[in-house]
Amino acid sequence: MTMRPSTAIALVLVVGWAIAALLHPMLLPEATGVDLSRLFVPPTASAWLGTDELGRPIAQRVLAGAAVSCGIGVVVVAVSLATGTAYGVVCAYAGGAVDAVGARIIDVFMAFPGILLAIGLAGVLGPGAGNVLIALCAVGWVGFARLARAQTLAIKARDHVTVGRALGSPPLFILLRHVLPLTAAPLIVEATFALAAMVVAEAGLSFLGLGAQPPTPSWGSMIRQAMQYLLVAPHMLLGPCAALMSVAISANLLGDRLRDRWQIKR
Amino acid sequence: MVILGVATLVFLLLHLAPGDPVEAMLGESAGTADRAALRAELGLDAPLPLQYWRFLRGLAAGDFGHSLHTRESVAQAIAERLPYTAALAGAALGLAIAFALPLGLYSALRAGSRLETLTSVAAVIGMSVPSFVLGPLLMLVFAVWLGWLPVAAAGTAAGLVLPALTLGLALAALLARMVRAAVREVLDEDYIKSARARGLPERRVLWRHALRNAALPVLTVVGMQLGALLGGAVITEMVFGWPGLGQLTIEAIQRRDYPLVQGCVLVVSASYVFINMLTDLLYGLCDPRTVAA
Repeated sequence: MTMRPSTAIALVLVVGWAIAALLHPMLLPEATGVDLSRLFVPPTASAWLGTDELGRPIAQRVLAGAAVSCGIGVVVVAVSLATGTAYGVVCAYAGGAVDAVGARIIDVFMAFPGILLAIGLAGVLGPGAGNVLIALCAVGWVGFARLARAQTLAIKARDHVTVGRALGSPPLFILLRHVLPLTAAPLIVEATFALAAMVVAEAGLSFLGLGAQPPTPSWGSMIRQAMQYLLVAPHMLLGPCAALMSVAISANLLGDRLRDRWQIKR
Repeated sequence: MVILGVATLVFLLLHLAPGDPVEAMLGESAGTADRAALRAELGLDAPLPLQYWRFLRGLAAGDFGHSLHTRESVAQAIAERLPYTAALAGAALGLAIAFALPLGLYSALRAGSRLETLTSVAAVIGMSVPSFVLGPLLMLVFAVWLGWLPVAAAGTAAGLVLPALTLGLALAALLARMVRAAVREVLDEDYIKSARARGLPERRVLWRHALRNAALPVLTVVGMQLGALLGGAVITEMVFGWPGLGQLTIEAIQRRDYPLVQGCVLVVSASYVFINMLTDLLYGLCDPRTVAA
């Protein structure tokens, strides 16, 4: 297996952020340490991304922020992948009235911009990381459900499924053994893209003030803070923006490369 | 039908979620009697199915109710803000097409050129960078450092430039990719080869035969993305303080102004559905075969 340099870089970045997220408990004390003698310090050797409006070091905050920003993304994608796939596969395999109603529900969810629904939901649930997670899951499952349903509809008609049914295998066995494995590749590619989308969406909600509350650092809320001091301390903007972009671009790139490798058509 | 589903979803969402608008309006110190009075006045004391029925009946008559906060009619509040969002979305779409069409076309025709590589790299980046990252960065560069544009000029023409650029560039990235893929696919078709074999000038082959057929998939993406654009506009409007529908929605959410949130979300969703219908109709104009099918 050969790997293009850009793929390798993307992979390293994603793994790096994952490690930062896991080290969160160790990073947090430094990231939330207020130092009022060092407000809005521009990048220097001792604080190489500068400090924010409470004198906290931005570099450490960006690292510590990975836990909330990426953690929520990963959990949302995992939950959405599981529920959406189950929903789509069952709808398509059951067929008939179940599928007719099931597909309609997917249509309704697809009919509005997901981020708007998430904003609305997070808004009525109230700010907080947990509620952002719920709001994003409520939106995230639809894409997987639609994909899993379409895949299953095609696979259902294949000979090996018919044979399985003729041999009297129970439906659950057919789904797990004959259908699900064949839907895996496109779903994994979709999950990679979804990861980029969800990390961005979480940051979006945090940017609107709906996400994790202070003092917990998250990239979205850091960008929100930086906006308020744009004229005084423009350096505050760079760290969280770069972090967010690195994750989003890497995940999208990896999704692209996986899709090419497995030759999945969209 | 879909609109009805969306309306139901929005209604359920707002009414089943925890949080009490009456409390938000009166504050925690208000007496029980005051709360009950306000609740009755707003119709919030009725059982849920009855509230749902009133809500649907109002919708059918084009009545979105009144804002809990300002007592202004929701329809009027939306009508005031809608032109701003429409201007923003329109400008963004125009910008996106102006960037994406030539770039996508060029990279389809000159495969392997440096510009093609650049375009595809820009496309990945453009798709990955959200508006609340691009927006502040653009603001920093053009308004703070270069000083070409005002930092805060919400609602004016000069203030439209940066938000439109923010929204438009992301769309342009996606669009350029689509244009390139579509044109390249069409150029492989037999009718292009035969047109060339008949000795038609390349210009004519391109404009009459290739572009018209490549327009279809591109149109689909434009239609789909316009909807996403409306969603993205919510955040972009917050970044720049643009007084459009998005800002109104967020304000309404923060105040738990149920009727206003309902109205905003419904209007945005309805425009989304409407745009998709329009796209289907345009299909027929571009490719008469789809009408017969």
